[in-house]
Amino acid sequence: MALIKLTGITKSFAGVRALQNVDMTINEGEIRCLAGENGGGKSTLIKVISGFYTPDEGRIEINGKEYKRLTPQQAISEGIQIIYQDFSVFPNLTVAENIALSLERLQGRHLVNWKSIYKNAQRGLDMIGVHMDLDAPVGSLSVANKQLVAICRALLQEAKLLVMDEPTTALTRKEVDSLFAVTRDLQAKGLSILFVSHKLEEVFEIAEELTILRNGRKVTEGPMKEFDRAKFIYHMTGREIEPAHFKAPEISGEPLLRVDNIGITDLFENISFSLYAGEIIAITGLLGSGRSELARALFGLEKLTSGRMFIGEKQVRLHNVKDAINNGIAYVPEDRLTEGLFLPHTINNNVISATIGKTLSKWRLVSAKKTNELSGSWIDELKIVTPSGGVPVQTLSGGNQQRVVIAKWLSTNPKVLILNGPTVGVDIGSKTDIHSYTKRLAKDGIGVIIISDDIPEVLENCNRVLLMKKGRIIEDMPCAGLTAEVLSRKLSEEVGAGGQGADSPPKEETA
Amino acid sequence: MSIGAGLRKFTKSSEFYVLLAVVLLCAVIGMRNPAFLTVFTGLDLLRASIVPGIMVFAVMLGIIAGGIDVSFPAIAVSSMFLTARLFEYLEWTGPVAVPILMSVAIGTALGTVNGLIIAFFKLPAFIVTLGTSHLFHGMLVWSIGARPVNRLPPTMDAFSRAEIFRITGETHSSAVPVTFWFLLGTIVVVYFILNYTMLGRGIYAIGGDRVSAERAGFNVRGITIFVYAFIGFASGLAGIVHTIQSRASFPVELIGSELLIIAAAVLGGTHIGGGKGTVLGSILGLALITISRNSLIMMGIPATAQMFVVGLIIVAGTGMSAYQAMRRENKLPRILDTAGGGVVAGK
Amino acid sequence: MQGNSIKNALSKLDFDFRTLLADTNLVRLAFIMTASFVLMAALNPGVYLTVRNFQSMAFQFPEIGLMAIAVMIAMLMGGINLSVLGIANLSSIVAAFVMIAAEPQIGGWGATFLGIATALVVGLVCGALNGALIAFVGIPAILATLGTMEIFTGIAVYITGGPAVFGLPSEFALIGSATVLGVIPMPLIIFVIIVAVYIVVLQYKKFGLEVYLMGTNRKAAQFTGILTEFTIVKAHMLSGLLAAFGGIIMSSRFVSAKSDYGSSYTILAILVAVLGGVNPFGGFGKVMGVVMAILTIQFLSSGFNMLRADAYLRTGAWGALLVAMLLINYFGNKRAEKKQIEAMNNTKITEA
Repeated sequence: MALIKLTGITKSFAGVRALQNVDMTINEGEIRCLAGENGGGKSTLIKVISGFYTPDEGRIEINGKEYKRLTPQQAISEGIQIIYQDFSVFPNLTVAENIALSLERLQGRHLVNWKSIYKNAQRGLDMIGVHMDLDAPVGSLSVANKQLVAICRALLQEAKLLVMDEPTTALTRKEVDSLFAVTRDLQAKGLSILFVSHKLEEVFEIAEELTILRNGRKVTEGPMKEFDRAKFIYHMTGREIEPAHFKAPEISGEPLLRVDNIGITDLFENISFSLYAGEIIAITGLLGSGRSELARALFGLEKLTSGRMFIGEKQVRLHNVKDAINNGIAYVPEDRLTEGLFLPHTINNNVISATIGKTLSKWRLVSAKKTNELSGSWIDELKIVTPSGGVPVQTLSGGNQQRVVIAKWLSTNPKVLILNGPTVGVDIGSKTDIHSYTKRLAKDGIGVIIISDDIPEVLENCNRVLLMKKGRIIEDMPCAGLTAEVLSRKLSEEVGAGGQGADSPPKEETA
Repeated sequence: MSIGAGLRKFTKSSEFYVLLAVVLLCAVIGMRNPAFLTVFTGLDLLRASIVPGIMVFAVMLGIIAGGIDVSFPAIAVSSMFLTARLFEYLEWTGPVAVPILMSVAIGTALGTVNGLIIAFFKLPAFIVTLGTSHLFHGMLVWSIGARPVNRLPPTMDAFSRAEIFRITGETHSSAVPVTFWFLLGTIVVVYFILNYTMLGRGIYAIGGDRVSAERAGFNVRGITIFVYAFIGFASGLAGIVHTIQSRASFPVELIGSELLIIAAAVLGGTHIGGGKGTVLGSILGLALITISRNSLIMMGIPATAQMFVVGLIIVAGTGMSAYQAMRRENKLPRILDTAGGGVVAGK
Repeated sequence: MQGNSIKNALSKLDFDFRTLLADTNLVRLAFIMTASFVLMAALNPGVYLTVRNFQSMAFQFPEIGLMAIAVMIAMLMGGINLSVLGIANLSSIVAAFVMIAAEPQIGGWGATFLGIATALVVGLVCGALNGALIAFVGIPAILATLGTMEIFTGIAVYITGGPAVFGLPSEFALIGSATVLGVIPMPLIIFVIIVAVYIVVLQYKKFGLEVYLMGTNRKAAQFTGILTEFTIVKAHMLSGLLAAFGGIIMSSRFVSAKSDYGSSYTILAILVAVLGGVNPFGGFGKVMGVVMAILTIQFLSSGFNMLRADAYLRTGAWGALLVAMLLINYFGNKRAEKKQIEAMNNTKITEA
């Protein structure tokens, strides 16, 4: 039976159609996936369902009741709950309050009943069978636990439909597995789930029904089994994307970058590898494997406590990012919003931020003309969609923002380019563009390190993959001949404790 | 929770360090000058902390909600001066409650104006209140003139002499005036609001994450307006108490005390970025500031060096917690297992 | 006509008119500045538009103007500097002691130069302390500079014991009282030179651009290779230097130095910076905006003086002006944002 039925939903902003004549039905007890590239209308549709936006046209029917103007309060009382990408938790409040406060509010209480808050919070945790310290401030929890807190909060408010907006973005594979287990468990209890995602693997894993939006229109829908990989990508992007393979180049001469037994106390140790011109190597590992810490160290953000690092033949010591840049290393960080971009500043300023020296006139002053030229050439080169370079970066889409970050680093003429999660939160079209561009850079003689746990990304773009676990590289293997299934298994296998190196067989652990 | 566990938890809280600082300061002053450790000094300090105290707890509410109000002294002086002049003109002989309520009402109205601007235009409270403090104070004093009120209405004058109790020794005599109830009342009200009302939890919520608070259905606008209206309310009260205590009303008093009051709240562990702060912490912060302002002289520190020492206390106090927080934030969580150790458990 | 008067008012300054038109906030400010000038001239016919009035205005505003730019630098980094006045007074007091001690040995001019150098060094040191507390200890700027305000003023009170320091060399007094070519007040000339230098440093040098970038995202700045700690310290030293210049002019005008001169300047300097369009969240704001803001304040202030307006009315007017400016900017920025988003949407449509 239909829990929620949307018919002919149209919504425009400032004359631009964000949604056009979209129909969607979510039945009781089903897991539906809403897929689409960023900017395709997914978030607008979520906001219509949750009552934050009133559609210009169309009908919303919930539990057989039609709403002309659905308000957020009505949506909540009909059991519609959103788990936002950032979870919308309060870092300064305790687990108990985060879970139960909204319920107390919903019941119209003006005074706080601490007893019932603790009781309800525990009830919420019991619903998904999780144990947590009710007095712990949520700010101290792991990302996965914050998400569980948000889910418990939603469940307590008698959710009938749980909308999860890109829920796996910051989770490790293991955490994704347990999230999916919780999701299926909730489904078994009769809840409907709307799983919003642009990640192909996960959609295939969890969804039963699929709706794909593109440019504000519904392009297709149906049971998951009617879709395969190619069809899914075709509908998402509107174009066929050939799975490209990266061929290993002929390795010759000195490596661009060589590390010899490097380590940082408590973080990682015994890391050795070489990167040659034209290579793209992947460093993969789960969240918390030390992959990002290693990347930070290679970029001078952390100081090595052991081992040696060479750029070409020269041994280098990086004290800060400036040293790294001077040695021809560039780093596209994991989180572009907080680490990569100056959001309110213009594209121009962002692109030149690491190479201001190149825009100076003969008086050593920043020249607007040179800035425009430098930035303009990168806007063209990386096909950044914008009316001009003078536009604040915060008005760009995720994919275009990532291109700005890449432009900023390429303008430093790096010899070694480190890309940490280069396509996280980026639409499929931009993802393809970024990948093919990376391969072109390698062809031009740059050495690239991609840090990623996106398995297809690793296999299709790299010639070699280093697998990291618990601060050590446990395997160094060529990508040729490696299948997604094998890599995926290796990635999620537990590794034993102690100083075992690459040759000790991975042990199964039950944590 | 057992008493022992509660104590252990307390020793880890920021309040504990402030308490330690207060005790240490008292011990040092007391060692240099035993006269400090008498009940008379205590009562004098208590009296001195009434007016700043009322303002500290109101300002704390604002900081927890994520905004720094600097208009409270201007509101306090505007409400008290307008009230004093009005009741002087009326040659008031009626109950003292009326002028007090009048001052509080003026304060609340001015605070509400702050709240409306901050809530509707989402502007930074610090800058808005910087503007309104000049606007309120300047326009008000200009329109009624700056002539001070030197004699209060008789009922107010009588009220100013009322005491809760007095202790008289051989050489000293100190009393707690009835106006102390106003400070106590403010503390109780703020404590109750923060810990036992939805509104109070909403204040923490919007200070912790404004967008999340909106999504969770908190009336962010309403809460914001309430917070600044309350600061206005408390300022109006602090103002009239100040007038009662000094038995006169001047249009320039209290102005300039804003930064020290904020410092008291922050030294007490109120997080300047919002979301954190407790009544107990602010009481201790207030004690720290009041003692260092009033009693350093008893320690043999010359009056001219007091400002310097107070500055050092602010920098050292905020510096210690800021440095620890920075270290915590920059520290990456451990990944490597210790050699021979077991597998690190899940999370 | 309006454009011309803006041009006239600013023609003395090193200034590119095109960049003014490019920035709507500055245009708005220029309009407000001109309006207040015209209003006050109309309200005070005969006396306002005289050389004497212009001269007296030009003696008054530079010191607050410099302190406002000092506040602006801190605001560009998303912080604030509440200690500018403390730095100004402390540096002029230390300079006063040095000058009084040195004058018998090296004469008035020598002592004056030594005094100026001393004041500037004190300003730099105070600024460095602010910067270090913010960058290396991690104290939020508002608290760090609140504390140092007490410390700097506290030191000033302690070393003077309270009263003003008199007996400065008469040569030193010329800084705040002399005129060049018989009409142009010395403080104005100092102001123009410093403003020109700071425009270049903040808006055209690599360092300045890094400050603006860092002001919106310190972490990203670190990831970009900007040495954020040193940039913060350096910027606060520049801020301290300006405060010291303000202090020099102020003590020269009074021919004495005191720990509580200019007690309303802290608030006024912040007000001028915000009025000048400096974004308190960091990253945006132009020196010229602050210059126009201080001129606006000065135009109004002189006009009020001539009208024998109450000091409280003036204070109230500043507050009203600040609140009005916040609201005007709010609506203006909202419109600009809308335009940007529309432009972006149009681009997308043509691309698709």
